[in-house]
Amino acid sequence: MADFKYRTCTLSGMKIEQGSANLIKWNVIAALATLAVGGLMAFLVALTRWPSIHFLSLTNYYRFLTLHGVDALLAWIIFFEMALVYFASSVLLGTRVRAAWISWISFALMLIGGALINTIVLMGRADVLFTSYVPLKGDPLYYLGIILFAVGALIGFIMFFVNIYYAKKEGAYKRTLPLGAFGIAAASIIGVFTLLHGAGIFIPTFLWSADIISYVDPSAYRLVFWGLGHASQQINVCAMVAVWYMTSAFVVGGKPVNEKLSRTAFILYILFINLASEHHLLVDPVLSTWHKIVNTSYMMHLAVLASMIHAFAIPASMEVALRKQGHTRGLFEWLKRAPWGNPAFSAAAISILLFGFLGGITGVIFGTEQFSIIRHNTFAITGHFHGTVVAGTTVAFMGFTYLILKYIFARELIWKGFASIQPYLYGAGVAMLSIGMMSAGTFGVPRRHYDISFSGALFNHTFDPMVDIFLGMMGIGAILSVTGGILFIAIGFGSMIWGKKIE
Amino acid sequence: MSDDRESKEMHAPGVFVLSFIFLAVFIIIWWAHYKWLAEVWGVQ
Repeated sequence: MADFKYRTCTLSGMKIEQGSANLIKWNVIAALATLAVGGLMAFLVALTRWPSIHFLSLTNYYRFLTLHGVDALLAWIIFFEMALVYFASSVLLGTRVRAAWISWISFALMLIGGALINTIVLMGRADVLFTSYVPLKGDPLYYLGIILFAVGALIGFIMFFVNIYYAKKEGAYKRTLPLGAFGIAAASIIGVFTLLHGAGIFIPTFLWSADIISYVDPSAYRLVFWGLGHASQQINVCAMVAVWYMTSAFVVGGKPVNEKLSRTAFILYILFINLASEHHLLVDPVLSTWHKIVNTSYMMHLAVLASMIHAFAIPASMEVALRKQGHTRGLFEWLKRAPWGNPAFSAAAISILLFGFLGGITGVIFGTEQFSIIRHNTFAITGHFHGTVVAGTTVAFMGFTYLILKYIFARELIWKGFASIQPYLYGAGVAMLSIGMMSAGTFGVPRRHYDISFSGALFNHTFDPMVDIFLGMMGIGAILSVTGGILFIAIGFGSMIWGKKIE
Repeated sequence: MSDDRESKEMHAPGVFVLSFIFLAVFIIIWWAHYKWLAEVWGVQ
């Protein structure tokens, strides 16, 4: 019988098993490494979209944009979500990861898949962008890399359910999971069907690229791909909200004002959030108008209802907790006295604010059928999803990394002063970047476009001169956020290596 | 009785006020988009 070593975290009081902690640690390390590559690519791509600089060559622009999508949107976030899966299903419940060797296989598959994708894209054999729409064809190894990564992640999400099953059996929790783990359970449910979509479409595409089958229907590809492409963003939303709840609980002792309501909101995500992503298919002739309208209105609003519940329940939990600590004067003393110098708290607060105002509001508007059709291929959409996935999810995960460094790595942060300003710097940069993109998109600037001056083209088109200001704003935002990103990576890895050990 | 009184007490008045600010911004941005639709794209 194996002997499992537990320690008690002196800061949080949580019981942490060594093997489970190692899984969390290595997934966070992989997440930070992929964020570093994805962030570098982001910087180069943003400098290219800034017309005054126009940095990369045509080929490198599309190559690095592909890599940016894969590393920043898929790898960094899903590696971190794997860390959250193991955290929520073991540490949070005071138990351990079961059959850890399966989770290590999952990690290895993701690592091999990620390395394969990066290598093939850098070799110039898959300049197909994140969506890799058929009949655009990449090297078979690119698709194989995505399949390996997706299967690895799928195993990780399935292991969440295995872990909570055994945790329940041993009495680690009674009736239902704590709210943070419940949120990760919702993310894992979405994760399982998302990654099954991924396997469902990338396996035939892999066979097609290897000339084993002759044809993949482009409409079928788009339909099933978006079951992966957008749904994977819904895993992020769910995991991000769970992180907000957990950060509120860990940092200020926040408890949900109405736990049943918060749980219901997670269930609304599971049921409706992916149906709302039909806006990718609005001009496809295969789906009926009725289908499109129902999904981009009723279903979307039910998912938005869930976000609205969380968006007020979490700040309310913080307010109640801070009022209990004695900050009761007036309406906003609690807000003034909140621990703004603690990067875990400030990151969660910035993430809630930016996700709500930038990603959320624009998501509702751009997701509506009439707006979506007009906006979909403009830079405004790029601005929207940088408001959700970067200003929202990435900032929240950065904040939670600071907690994991203390609780799981048992290390003090290095450069505490820099750490306390990092979320503000990164958040301000991403907000500028996102607003710049959205504003330029309003003037019709297309997304994913190498050269909006259309130099050398047979036709002549110039955009409103305001576009230059907004794209300049985007570029300055990119510089600020990359500076914040470099700080985060340096503090993250630096603390793992040189941070003072917490006994 | 005391339970009833407690349940009617507002626990987070600050967030209640902030939610109206969010709502106002939401409506302004949404309205601006409709205006943009009408002016730039001629949608009636």
